[in-house]
Amino acid sequence: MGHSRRSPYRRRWPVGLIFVSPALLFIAAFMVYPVSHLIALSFHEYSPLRSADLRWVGVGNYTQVLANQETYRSIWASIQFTAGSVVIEMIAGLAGAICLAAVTLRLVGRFGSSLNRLFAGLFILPLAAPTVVAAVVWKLLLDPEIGPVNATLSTTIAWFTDYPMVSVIVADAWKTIPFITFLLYAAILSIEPSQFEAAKLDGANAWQEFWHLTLPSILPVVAVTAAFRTVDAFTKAFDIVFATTGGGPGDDTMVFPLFIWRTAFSNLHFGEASALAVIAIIISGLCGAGLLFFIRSRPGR
Amino acid sequence: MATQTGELGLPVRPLRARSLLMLASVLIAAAPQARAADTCTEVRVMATAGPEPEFAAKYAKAEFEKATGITVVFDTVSRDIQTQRASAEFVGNTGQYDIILIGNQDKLWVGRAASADMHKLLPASDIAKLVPRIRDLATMDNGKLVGIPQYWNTTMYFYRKDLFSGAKNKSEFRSKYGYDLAPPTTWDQFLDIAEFFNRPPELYGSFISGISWAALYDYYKALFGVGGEPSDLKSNTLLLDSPPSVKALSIVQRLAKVSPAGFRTQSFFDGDKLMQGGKLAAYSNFSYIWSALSKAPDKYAIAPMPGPGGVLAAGFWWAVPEKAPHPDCARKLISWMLGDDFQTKQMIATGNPPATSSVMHDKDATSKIPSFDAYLATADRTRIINVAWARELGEGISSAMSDVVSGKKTPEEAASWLQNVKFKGRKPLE
Repeated sequence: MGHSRRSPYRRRWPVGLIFVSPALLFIAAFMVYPVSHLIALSFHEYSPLRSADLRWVGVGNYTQVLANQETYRSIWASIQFTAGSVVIEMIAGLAGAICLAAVTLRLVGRFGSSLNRLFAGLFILPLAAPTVVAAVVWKLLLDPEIGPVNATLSTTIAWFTDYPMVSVIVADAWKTIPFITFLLYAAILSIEPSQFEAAKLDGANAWQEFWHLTLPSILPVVAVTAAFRTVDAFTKAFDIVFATTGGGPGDDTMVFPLFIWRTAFSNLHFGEASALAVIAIIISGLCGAGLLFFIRSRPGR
Repeated sequence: MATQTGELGLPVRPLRARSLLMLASVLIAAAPQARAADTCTEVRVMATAGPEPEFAAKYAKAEFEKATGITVVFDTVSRDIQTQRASAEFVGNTGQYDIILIGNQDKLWVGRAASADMHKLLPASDIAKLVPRIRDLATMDNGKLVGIPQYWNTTMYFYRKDLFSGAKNKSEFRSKYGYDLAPPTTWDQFLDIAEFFNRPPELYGSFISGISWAALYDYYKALFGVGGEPSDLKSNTLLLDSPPSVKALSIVQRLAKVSPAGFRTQSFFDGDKLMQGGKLAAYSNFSYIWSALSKAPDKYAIAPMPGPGGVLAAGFWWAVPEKAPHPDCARKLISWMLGDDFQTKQMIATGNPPATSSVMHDKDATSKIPSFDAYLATADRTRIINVAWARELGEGISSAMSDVVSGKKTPEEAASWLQNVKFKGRKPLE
């Protein structure tokens, strides 16, 4: 509180810096340098199919990509994908976590523990599958000619053609729901059991327990998970789209990361691609921060 | 300190300094020999994923290494990033590889970049082995031979022989269209046959790809077939709104109506499965699929693509960067690759026509490929995409095709969009 308590920290900060310097070096090498290089490249033109030279163009890449309608279409595709994925995953993940908690908390003894592990293993399977494998599986499931989904529904819907965005969202959500489930499951398990006992004594039913006790207790975890997943879905929705629709039909599912990849590695316009990537970092950062702020500022937490 | 002199009046250097000087001289003299000894012990190849490079890698390891003692290293990269990796060698001069496998759509930019002229690298006798048309396709206007084809293939017409030979189909087709049912010789006939056999959901008349990396090939098949080109290199202008281009997009529009549901997110690999599953009456595809379809000769047959124009050529070429670390090894491996033994075994294993005339006209060898004559009839019609940024062009074409197929644009509007909006101001060589 006084001068005499703060001075030991002032004396010790160089020691603290030495201890954290390996981590700082790591961050500098693998985060600061690549991002700095990316930002620098975004102000240059580099298209090796035209010229080997790196040419300063100032904000030329930014004006070019911001004048391109395809940029906005891909951002809109990403927004649709992100919103659909996050909503489905959070709702299904929360439902899964509550069901998992309801079942596993009642399982006791050795048999109960074995069943616990079995359930956990089954839930984790989609998360463990490589994304490309999941994409191939969903392509087969939704195949218009031989897919079991159409066979069950007695239809011949070309899902990835007629409902491309819904199809890729479902495929992605299938893979990510277990991750959300386990995060929220851990949050539920951290709630003090005595609170549930007290609620029961007060005559609360299951819905009232969930609404007034469970949900408020885990809301900070829900908020952080949703924010994380929003940024993740916006910036990393690549594999599942690439392996299923390839961004099509047309550019209906050309999500922003795929558009950036195509600009860089297919069209070899690295300056423009870098500008797009910087825009992606700004958008996803704003989205994540905005979501966290909105949820944390709500009254009655 | 005074310098000591010997009998001849020359300064006498201390013994230690003399020894060090001699040792250094020996080391410096030995170093070039050491480097020379290292120049031809290894050859590094950057290949693209696919059955032909895999065959080359396997056979080179088994035969070339045994014969020459030179280690062959094949690094395989995905097709999606092949151009970017190749540009690191030919433009960035990273000097990691001795041979880069390129596609023929890479010809123009590789030819203008730091790639070796194969006329200067290989002996004339090796160049003379190549099928003339395939050699010409790989040659720039200034005479530079950009790469050596490992093989060649092209798009062909594959059809259900059992359906085409059915008496009922023959009679109905003749009365409806006024000519006999047979493999088409024009694109109008191609469309007539596709529409005749379109009986969904059991049978579809044809198949076109919808996914962007594959869809563009259907455009080029039609464009070349009706006598068009995507650009004019002499005037360095794009021809995307030319009448043949509009016609090609119209053909795509009609073919979309006789293709199975779901094609818009599928590629010709999915078409292969549908054909082999009996769901397609006919379709066009690259010749690799013939090695599978020819196993059922009563059911499937092959014919040249309709004309009167050209056909889309494909195949990997072996190009050498100027900064290749071991150009001698590269030369030896390419010479070996052009040998009759490799070319014959490759043809039989992959079903692709050979790069050399000697094997192409060897009746004993080619008799192992059913209906090989269909390839001979096509060789001189082969064309390649004459735009340096072919992949980017392909993305735009796929986008235009999607708009035509979905009805958002007419073929004329799509062609105009390509020329005047999407690629406004662009040139085939930039």
